[in-house]
Amino acid sequence: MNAVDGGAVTASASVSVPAVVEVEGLRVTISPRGGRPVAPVQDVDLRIRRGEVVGLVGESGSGKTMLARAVAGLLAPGLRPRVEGRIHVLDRELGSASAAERRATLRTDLSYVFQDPNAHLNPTTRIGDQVAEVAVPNGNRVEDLFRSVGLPTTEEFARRYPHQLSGGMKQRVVIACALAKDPGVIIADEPTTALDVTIQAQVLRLLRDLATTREVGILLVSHDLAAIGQFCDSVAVMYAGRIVEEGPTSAILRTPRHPYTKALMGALFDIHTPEHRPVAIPGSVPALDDPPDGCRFGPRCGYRTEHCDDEPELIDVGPGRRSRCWNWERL
Amino acid sequence: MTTTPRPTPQDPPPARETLALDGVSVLFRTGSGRRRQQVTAADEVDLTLRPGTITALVGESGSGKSTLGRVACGLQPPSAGTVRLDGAPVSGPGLGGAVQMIFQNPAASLNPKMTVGRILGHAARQAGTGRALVRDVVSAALTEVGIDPPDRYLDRHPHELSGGQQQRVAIARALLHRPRFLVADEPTSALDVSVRVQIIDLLRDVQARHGTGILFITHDLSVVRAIADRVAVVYLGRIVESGTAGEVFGSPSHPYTKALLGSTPSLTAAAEDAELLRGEPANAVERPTGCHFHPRCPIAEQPRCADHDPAPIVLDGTHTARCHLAGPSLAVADSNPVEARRTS
Repeated sequence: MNAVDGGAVTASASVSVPAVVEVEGLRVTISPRGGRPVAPVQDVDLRIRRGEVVGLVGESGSGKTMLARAVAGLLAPGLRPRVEGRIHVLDRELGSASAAERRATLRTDLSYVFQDPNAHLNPTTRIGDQVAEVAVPNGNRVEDLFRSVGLPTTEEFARRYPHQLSGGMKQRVVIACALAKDPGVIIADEPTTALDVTIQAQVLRLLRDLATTREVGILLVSHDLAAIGQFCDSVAVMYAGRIVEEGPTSAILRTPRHPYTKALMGALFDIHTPEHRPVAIPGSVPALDDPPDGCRFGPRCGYRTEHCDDEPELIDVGPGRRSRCWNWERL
Repeated sequence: MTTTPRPTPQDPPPARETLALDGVSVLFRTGSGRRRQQVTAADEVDLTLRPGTITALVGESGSGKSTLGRVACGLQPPSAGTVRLDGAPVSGPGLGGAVQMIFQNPAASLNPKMTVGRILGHAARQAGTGRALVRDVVSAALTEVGIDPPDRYLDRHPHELSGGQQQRVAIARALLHRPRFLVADEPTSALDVSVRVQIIDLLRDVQARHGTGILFITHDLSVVRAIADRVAVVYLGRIVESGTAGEVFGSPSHPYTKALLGSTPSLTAAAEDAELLRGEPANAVERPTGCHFHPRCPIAEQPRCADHDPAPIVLDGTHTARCHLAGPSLAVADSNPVEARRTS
């Protein structure tokens, strides 16, 4: 089955499109020096298919970056992380693989785009040379890559240094680097948070288009539900280390089935509906080392019942949709 | 035969009870020797703040909006032009106590070594509160910004507060000076979505309760749409469109304003509908000729837009746009800088 035509809808709706990332029962425990061990990611299942853009949304402290980094094998050693569960990248199991095997898979099949392009680019090397370093051994040409990310293909441009580019252009160079090895998966962690709003829209649309044309699976990590809503096929909402709701983007935004998703949507200002008065979510995200009993969102939830003293599982709540809420039918 | 006078873009000269930037330019010099460059962060900007009114200054990074904010509270002396308070020229940090500033990153604006009580006590004494009353005044200020009960927080350090609480303390500190105007530079950009609303609501409370005039600097048009009374859109150091929120959002007239609106993420619109801008913001060192926006403009007409600098055109009421192709008077748009000053 070809996911190219009709892109978004076909890819997310079809089961026959192969998954490039499959995560099951993932749990990340970190033991920072001088602190108690805590688990910022718990009980996470996640699947990304070819040509699909999956949005991972959450506020700070939700564990979204930890999850993304765990999949990419990029957890900081200083945190002394322990990763349990299955992580499949392109049919290879990374959880039980040796460190060398894991690195080999991640080196060839997965690219990671950071929020700050300066963290990726070497300030003393010309951008053309930086992209070539990855592109040439993989049989790709710098010029083609620059074209596909909308950068000028002139010799003069390729000879520039990172500091001679604007933030948006730098992030495009980083995306060109990410594409240079023809990865099956790109994980982009807040790739546009540091960019201006007009540039943000350009870069997100570029990622959206690349997923379709190059059949890459993309995980887009963001705090911005509105941006995610516009560019992702499906969404996973994280709260306090767990995915609390997931499913097709349009369905979730039309009828959220977890109180947190609903509250998050209600807290946004919307340019097209100025009469909508956003409502803050009371309370704050629980501390990792002191989570509430039962449902993690319970203390802040307006739909709380006695039932919520028991922690809910992720349950099916519609076609392709799951929610971690006992009371989803009452929303 | 007399000619009808051109409508002025703003109400009659609002000398009283206003904070006004009058033809303000700010130039920065960078580099030295052959690399010496001049950055034009603000270029003959006129902007008037009124009490009890939220004026939003909108633009992308590098547009000069923060520089204008710093000029408005006296932190940045203008290279040319005047800042007037109630019609009289003023200068110096805070413009003699009339203006306070709230910054994007509350953690960086609060002294990490001092407790909340000391930070606010210091501000209260600066504002002339007698020593015996300081504690009561500080407690009242904390209660007002929603930090309750205040006694529980007086002995805490900034790092022991959440981001939202830190910003509340920063606002409380500003209010202790009883400012007539507040300049809030991206006050919610560093905060989580669920907290953002609370800080916005707090600023609106302050505006309503004390009649404070607020200059709200942001890149987020969805917030502006919900709270601003007046809007000024800045591009490369100039106000390219301004008016009441109803005027600017109801009939956006500058192509840059339209592009900003189209790029603003929304839960209620599909991204495919939006027409995106080409290219990147030009830099303030080498500003394009003619209309500064023409290299990115989807409707630019050559050679006019590349050669001639558009003057602000009055579209309706207080609504102005700086574009050759905006509004009904597009045929008479001229590029005479003298004319430009007169209409603005």
